[in-house]
Amino acid sequence: MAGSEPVSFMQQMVSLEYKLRASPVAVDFARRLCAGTITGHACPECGLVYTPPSGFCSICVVPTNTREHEVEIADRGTVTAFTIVNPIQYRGQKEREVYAVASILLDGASGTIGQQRLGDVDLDRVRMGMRVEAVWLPEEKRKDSAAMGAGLASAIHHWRPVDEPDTPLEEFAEHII
Amino acid sequence: MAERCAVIGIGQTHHTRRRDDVSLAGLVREAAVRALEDAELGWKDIEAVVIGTAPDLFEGVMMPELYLAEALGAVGKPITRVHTAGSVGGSTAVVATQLVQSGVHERVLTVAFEKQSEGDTSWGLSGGRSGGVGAGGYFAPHIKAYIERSGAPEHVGWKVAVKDRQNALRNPYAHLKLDKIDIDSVKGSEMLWAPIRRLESCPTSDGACAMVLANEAGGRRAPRAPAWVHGKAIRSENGFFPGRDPVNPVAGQDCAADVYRQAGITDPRRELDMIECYVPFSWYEPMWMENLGIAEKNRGWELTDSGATAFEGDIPVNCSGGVLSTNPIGASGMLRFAEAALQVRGQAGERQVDGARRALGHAYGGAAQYFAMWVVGSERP
Repeated sequence: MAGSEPVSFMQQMVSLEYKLRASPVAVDFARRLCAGTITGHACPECGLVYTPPSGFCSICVVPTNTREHEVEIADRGTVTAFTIVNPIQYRGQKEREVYAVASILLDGASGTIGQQRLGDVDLDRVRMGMRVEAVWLPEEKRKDSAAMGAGLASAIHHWRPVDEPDTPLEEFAEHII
Repeated sequence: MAERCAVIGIGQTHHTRRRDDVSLAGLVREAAVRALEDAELGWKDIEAVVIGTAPDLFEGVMMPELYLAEALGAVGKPITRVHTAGSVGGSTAVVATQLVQSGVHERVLTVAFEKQSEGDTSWGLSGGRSGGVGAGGYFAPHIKAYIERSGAPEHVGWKVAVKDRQNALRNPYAHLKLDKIDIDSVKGSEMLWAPIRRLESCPTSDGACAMVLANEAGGRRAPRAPAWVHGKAIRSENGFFPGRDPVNPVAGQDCAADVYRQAGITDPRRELDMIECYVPFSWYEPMWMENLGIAEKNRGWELTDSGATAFEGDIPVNCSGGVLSTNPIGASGMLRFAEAALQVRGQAGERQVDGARRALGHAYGGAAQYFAMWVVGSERP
């Protein structure tokens, strides 16, 4: 406003440290993942299979937190949607090269896992319906941090194409993301 | 509904990349003063204040409603803060409307804002230290799925990008003024998150928007034509569950159905004179036209392609230039609501749609899971 004093600004970096106590379901998922197995929970009412599991079905609102609900999920599936990211170099950006991330519908799961890194693939060849499999980190490099929000990336380095025919769009049209 | 609600004052800042001449408090006050001037009211006439903004970390001010109470004349009055991610500007207006409709207050000031330059929103939206792909990277696969599913030609996204920027040239408050933009420049701009190009993306802006809402008596006494609220609604859904369709979310469909029902609208394409819709990436125009029931499933792109959503079209969308031209995140939703109200008041200046009597304001947020909408009209419902 006219006549008022100029506004001065100061720079202050904010750092937030926190500890998360993960739920038993998340801890269990992380342990199995580090041992090389992706697990999910099947809802006893609607039969939908959740991975990573949250311990309940968010549609039926029933618990799925005991061993009897646990099912093994394949480490291979179908790319249902994707983007090729050309990383903007804002402060703190760690990515330098163009890369692809995808939503993947794993065989045996009812919902996709999102933001999964694709690798060993020509970026022009990435497509919806493409079949992919997990490239696991060496066992000693797997971090027991899936429970802390790092998800599948704590044990799986990336996903690469496999030589299988594409899944037709109509088979996953309702499970794109 | 016990009371009718009228929008009797509207104010906004001139949105821009950085407002170094004002603090956060100065920014919100600027919009609020303009809204009060439009309503010809003073601070003492306001009974309560409802404010909205996106996550606190965007500016680094925790619980900004406490710090901003003085600047908004709210000391000793009820002040409420609303937070529903990107849709917050819309939900904030809905909460303020409810305070009037319920008869709790006669006159309410509602304000939404973002001063993106003060924080580090690119970093914040990209997941901070844990990495991440940002809002563009998150929504790009949804857009990709829409294009695949609908068979829309790729130039539809470019057309929206050009149309909204040309509309912004008629709006003195808009941030981006890209007077030379055309299809070739959009198509030639850098691909950031395929299929989203740089010129198909929203900017980062500093700005605020404010409205004064009043009950029926206040609406009748208003010095300028008010906009009457014919319907308002909020809906949300879980962001992740098997079978969720983020391209055409059920929460958005339900929200639209609710506001149309309240407003007595059965054919929104014909009965609405214009729409201000939350389109941060160009492809969201055709996607939301389907979600809002303006176009049939997989055919929203034909609406854009035919020019129906252009300023001169039969259902103009984002005559203000929209989020693609101005994006102070927390305020972006309220700007949609306010621009819809300006249109039915006949106060939209050069961006005025001739004879607009009924308009829809729309906002969305989160993982395309939070929705807020209102229908406003020139006639008292």
